[in-house]
Amino acid sequence: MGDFVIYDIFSTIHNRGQAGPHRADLPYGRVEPGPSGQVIPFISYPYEWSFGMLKDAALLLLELVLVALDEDMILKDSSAFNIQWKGAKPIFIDVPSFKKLPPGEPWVGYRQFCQMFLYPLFLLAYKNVSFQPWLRGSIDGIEPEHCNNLMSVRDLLRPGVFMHVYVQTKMQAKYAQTRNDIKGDLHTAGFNKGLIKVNVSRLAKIIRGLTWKCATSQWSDYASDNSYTGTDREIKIGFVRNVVLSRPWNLVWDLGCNSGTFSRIAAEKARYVVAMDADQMSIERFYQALKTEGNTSILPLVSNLADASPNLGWRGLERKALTERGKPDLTLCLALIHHIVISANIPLSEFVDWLVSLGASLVIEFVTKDDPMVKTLLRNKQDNYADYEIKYFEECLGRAFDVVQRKMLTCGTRVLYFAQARI
Amino acid sequence: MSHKKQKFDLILVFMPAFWLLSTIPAYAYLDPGSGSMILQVLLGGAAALVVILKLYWNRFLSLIGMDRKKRKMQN
Repeated sequence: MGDFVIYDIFSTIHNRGQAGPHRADLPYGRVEPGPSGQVIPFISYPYEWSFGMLKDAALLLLELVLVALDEDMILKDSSAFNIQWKGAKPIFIDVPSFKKLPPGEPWVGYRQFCQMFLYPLFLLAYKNVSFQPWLRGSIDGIEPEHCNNLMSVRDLLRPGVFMHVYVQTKMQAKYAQTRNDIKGDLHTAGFNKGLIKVNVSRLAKIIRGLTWKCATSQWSDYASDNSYTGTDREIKIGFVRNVVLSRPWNLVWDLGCNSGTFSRIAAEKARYVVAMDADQMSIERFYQALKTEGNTSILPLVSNLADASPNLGWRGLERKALTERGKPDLTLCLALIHHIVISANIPLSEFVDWLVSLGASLVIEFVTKDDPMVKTLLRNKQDNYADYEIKYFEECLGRAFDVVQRKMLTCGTRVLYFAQARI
Repeated sequence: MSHKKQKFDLILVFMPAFWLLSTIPAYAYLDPGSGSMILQVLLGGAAALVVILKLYWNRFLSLIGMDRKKRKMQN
């Protein structure tokens, strides 16, 4: 159980008198029965997580702080990047962050916790504004002052806003140029870990109470509101399952996973599945389902492929682009291409080239312009998509892939392909 | 937590908070941690009352030239 691991870490650090050196890429924390040296199957970042994922990561971090305090230790930072995922289970990876808590010292990671966890969660729970673009645009999270500027007078009455946002902003301003030795003053005045515990416990209570009351989004009902019949759905499932079962797969990417039906099929044979969708409500629902099951083989991520996560941070080296964190050996791209080409205006050949660059086998579904879903996309839009045509698509596909299997669905507007990369 | 205790906690937190909030904006050479560290005293609940009082008592002593730390160092 996780507690064993945590205490094992603490005793090691106590014996050494300091934290580390540990390998930061080893998963410790609440998941594995021991420091088994397993590697996180796929690195992800907070700007790719759904609301529930960020919430659960925050609660894990707070729990670790509480456990550490019992051992007179603390986490020296609260970076959300220190949490990774094995499927739907959060794992704390930065063991060297544990350090002995000097007597009288406050929790130095508190402000960072607010910026990287609390304020992003407030943003979605209280303002219904997505935190992902903000976290992607600011590697240190949301500044107290910026969060404060977003909050209305009414929001000040919501749990946590007055003290953690408003008062913190004012305190930051007041003490910005202080010449006082704040740490020393607090120590002299008798600050102790009990005060940190109260703060951490209350933060956990606030976070547990946060919910995202969002109306059903554009995509979330897609699984039950699409243009295919039950027969076509069965054909599609059979097609994907045949490919999945044809050989063992190491890493499968399910692009535009929606409710995750095909990610689950892929997980029947694949070692690990990364399920991506631009719609965070779909990912949130999928995550909650996977979490309930205790799934550790499917990682759901919020990702818009037309604008996927780039290299970020100092010299673009701190956070890696999506494609630099491991490439799949099988890509599922079902009912997605019309959104990429028609909604996001990416030329069809460009998108196929990108799929080629992944170097993986491919299951792709082409949805023709006669399909009701494509008609909806084009209804109030000028059709500038001469390239969006099945013959041209097959030509593009055939340039880099060997098309092993082709299957037209009974609706006559959708075609499935299994294509293998030509080496 | 009882209703009375919650009320007491609120008073405890808000009183010093109002006192501490008389601010002017400061933009240059920001020290990002100090305000958040002080805030943690306010967030510490009932147990923080003694710490708050001591913190400001020590500040007061320092203002009138009776800083214990300094005197210790001088001795």
